[in-house]
Parts: sequence; structure tokens; C-alpha cells
Amino acid sequence: MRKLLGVPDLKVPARQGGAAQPGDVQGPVFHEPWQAHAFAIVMNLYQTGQYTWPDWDDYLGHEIQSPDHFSGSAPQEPAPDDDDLTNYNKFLAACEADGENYYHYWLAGLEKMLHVKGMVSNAELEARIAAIAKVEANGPRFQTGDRVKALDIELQGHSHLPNYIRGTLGTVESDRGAKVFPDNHDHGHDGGHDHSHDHGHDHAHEKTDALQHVYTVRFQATDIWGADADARQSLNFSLWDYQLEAA
Amino acid sequence: MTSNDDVALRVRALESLLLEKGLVEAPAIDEIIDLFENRLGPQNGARVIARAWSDPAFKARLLSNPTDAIVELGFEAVQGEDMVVVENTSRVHNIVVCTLCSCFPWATLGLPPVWYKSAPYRARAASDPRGVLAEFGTEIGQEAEVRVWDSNAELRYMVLPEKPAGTDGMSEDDLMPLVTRDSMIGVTKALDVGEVTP
Repeated sequence: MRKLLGVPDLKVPARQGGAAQPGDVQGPVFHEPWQAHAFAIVMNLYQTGQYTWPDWDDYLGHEIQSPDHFSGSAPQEPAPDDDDLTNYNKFLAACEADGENYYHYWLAGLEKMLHVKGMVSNAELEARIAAIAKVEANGPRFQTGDRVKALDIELQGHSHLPNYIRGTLGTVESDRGAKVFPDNHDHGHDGGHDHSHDHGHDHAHEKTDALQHVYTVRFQATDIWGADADARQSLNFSLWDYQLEAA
Repeated sequence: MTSNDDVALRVRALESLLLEKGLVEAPAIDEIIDLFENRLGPQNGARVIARAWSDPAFKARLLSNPTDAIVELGFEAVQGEDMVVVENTSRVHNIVVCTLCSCFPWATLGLPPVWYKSAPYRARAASDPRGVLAEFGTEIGQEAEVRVWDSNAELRYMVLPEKPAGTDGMSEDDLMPLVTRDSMIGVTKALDVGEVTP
């Protein structure tokens, strides 16, 4: 049977049972999960009418034809020959090696298109990449059961940290994972008007990380309201990492 | 971090921003990946070809109005593109390429193979198609005309391979395994009956 790089080109089951399968034994359609996601993002944006297909084709075609690629998506070098490849057709091997760059071009085209069309700027993307890398490198600061203290600070606008738990000790109930800090939310839910003199005080608060872990923290009513409170009662708040310190 | 981790992080960052802006939706992303990984592929095209080989009326519709004929079998165009089906005979051999990038008939063939998207194939299929056919081990007659078709965003081509000898009377289901993805791109012929691995 004809072979391409040692793999039978296509093996369709003798009987087609049930739903059609790709039936391609060259391997998975996408070699890496990121390729699948880069692909699906373009398809989803197309489905929702963000651009026409020929429009996207121009961006992709430009990347494929151009040596000017994004540094972050450096194309792979063609794989060096090894003994297993000696019998393979050199032309087809060169095709396979070059074709592996395809999704790098795809991603580069997508980034450019989103930037040009004002959907995601390059700066926005680089900032998000840095934020994700930072929060993943650091990991969660607290674990379930850790004792923490809610900071007694003037907090940025939409903080969900009531005054009455500031400075109070509590226990981490769970780590909810890293979330995007809504740094635009200090304009509240009534956006649209001029905020320049909304705030009677100056939030001289240093900028918090764009991406932070959110923890659900349990406070005993007695710790909040004093010894007279119901000892059988707790209050649970979900708080941003920057609002907490170890206790 | 390896380069692959770096690029994976770029994609995650991009997706998270687009999700927040409401420009993409997580269930839609999952659905698209599932569609292309599990439901679109050359078996769809093989069904179309096997039907054309065994049903002359369908073959006539497939050649005259390919987009609608393919939809008859339930394979809708993914990007609203029009399909063109070109028939291989002993005198004319058709081969499909996208010289610009990677345009491909997704609904019937799934995503293109890696080599189809490569510069060497895109360049050489246009300049030396007989050479490309030889690389794939495909022999065509000295007198045969080779027609190269350049796919683009609006038009996608699929080759109707020659029906192999010795297949008269075979059912559509039995014909399907003879139809390979590469034969529908035109770089190879359909398999002979003896070439199919059980």
C-alpha cells in the first residue's frame, strides 16, 4: 500500500459504522491542543460574523507567504534526517517538515487580525501572557485551612470586601483558582458617565495583578461581631489574593 | 519553557481575552474542535465518491452541481464555500493545490494533511505536477493531460478518482475503502481492490 512517511496514508474501515470518523491514521487532526484552540478561535469568530472568510484568508495567506513572523510563535526547524527517514521520499519529508509550521502562521495571522480590527491589541495580549505566566509560576499563596487576615486597607472600588471584615481573621475554605481582576469595575455597573470626580477620596492603591487567585474565606460571626454573636454562624466571602495576608 | 509551551500560553492568553470580551464562547470552541477531530474527515468524501461510482444519476448531479449534491449526503460547507468536483479519466488527471495557503474542502475531506499546507507542495504542484505525482508513486499515461486546480476561499475542489478496475457490481459500502483522501486531492489514484488492508 502506498505510504507517506512510513504511515499508511488512509485507512477507511471496511464498514462504516455509525457516525463518520476522520479515518486518517496519519495521526490526530491537531498535533497539539493549542493548535486546536487557535483553529477553533478563528472559526468561532467567523461564525459570529467578526470577519468574512476571504478576509481571514488574506491574513493567513500573508503569514504563510511572509518570513516576518511573530517572535512568540517561531516556526519549527525542519526535522533533521535520521536513519528511520533514509528510505522516505525526500520531497514528501520536506513537505511534512514545512507543513508543521502551519499553525504557527495561523496564530500569527490571528494575532495580527485581532490587533488590526481592534479586538485584541498586541499590548493587551502581551500583558495577559505576562499575567498568566506570573500567576502560574507563583501558584496559590494559600491552601484550604490556612489562617488569613483580611487587609484593613482602602480597597479599589468593586472589591466585595465589606468594611466589617477588614482586619478580621478567617480560614481559607477553598482556592477558586486564578481569575482576571476586574480593574475596570471601579466604574461600577452604571458606566457611561464622567467618573473624573466621582470619588471623594483618592485610591492611592498600587496596581494589583491582572490575574489573581480568588479564595473563599470563612469568618466566624464571633470574630466579626464579637463574643456576643452566635457562635454557630459563619460568613463566607470570596476574596482576591491581594486582599489577604497570612495570619 | 519550551517553544511549544510558549505558544500554548499565547493561545490561552488570547482565548481568555476573547472569552471576556464575549467574542468567542467556550462551548462553541469545544464544539468546533469536536467537529473537526471527530466528525469531519475523508470518510465523508469517500461516501460521496462511492455514491458517484455506483449511482450514475448522482454522479451527474455531483459534476453539474457539486455543492448541492454533496449536501444531499449531509455534508454542508463549513465556510459557505462552493464545491467543484473534477473527474479523473485515463486522458485527464486532476490535482488540487492551494498555492496561497491551505484552502481545502473541509466538509468532505476534513482538515488538509500536513504536506498539503507546505511550501514545497504548494510550489511544486503548480510548477511540476507530473513530478509531484511521481513522488507520490502515481503513474499516469504519457499522453494524459494534467490539470492543476488552485483552491481559494470561495471555491474548493475535490477530485472524483477513476473507478478502479474489477469493481463492477461492488456495493457503495465496499467501494468506500478504495477512496483515499489523497486520491480525492488527486495526488494518487483510488486503491485497487487488492491494496485495501482489511
